[in-house]
Amino acid sequence: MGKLENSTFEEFLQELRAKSKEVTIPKRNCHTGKKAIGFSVKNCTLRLNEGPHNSRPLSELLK
Amino acid sequence: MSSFTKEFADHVSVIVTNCLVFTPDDLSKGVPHAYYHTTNCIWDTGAEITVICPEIAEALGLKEIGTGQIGGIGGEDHEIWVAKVHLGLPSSETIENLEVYVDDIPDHDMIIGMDVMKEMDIAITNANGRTKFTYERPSTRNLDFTQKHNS
Repeated sequence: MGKLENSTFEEFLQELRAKSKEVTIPKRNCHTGKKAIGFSVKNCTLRLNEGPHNSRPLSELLK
Repeated sequence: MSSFTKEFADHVSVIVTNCLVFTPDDLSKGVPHAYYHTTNCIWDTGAEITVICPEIAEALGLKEIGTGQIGGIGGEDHEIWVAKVHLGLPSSETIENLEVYVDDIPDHDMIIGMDVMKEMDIAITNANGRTKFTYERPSTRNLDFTQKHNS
């Protein structure tokens, strides 16, 4: 696990681990040299993410 | 209102941060039952939609809610599927009920796309040999770097 950039985020993670299940995935190859950058949607059965999204501080999830 | 800043040790060619992907449970009942924490999330203004890799979708048991087709720069058009998640951004807030593409992403676990970034003010600076990435959500600013030179 890499260094966390935000102390509030790190504190949340510590509490989250006690209340939710952390899943893991097989280690991905991070040195393929392939570029993932940039793509466009050709077609989709949904109209994705058109409106604003609700949000709340992560800390509220733990209450 | 939330904000986040990450300053890298030198100039970087990709902006990578932490991010949480939650199962799309009812958040009024508390914390979702499962999550994935990545330290390998790339922010990509060239991506229209946020993408997670199939391994995350499988580990969280996400369900397909739609399908689509995308075309990548230098790549071939291909089919993908859509899932719903909650995100936990590094600014310590949620993005709820986000529809994401599930697709194999070279070198990274997930891509934050413009569907998330369009709700933010974002800046990338590179002074003093260090790349700094900063954002604030929701968007409130009307930045124009040319104004400093024109005034």
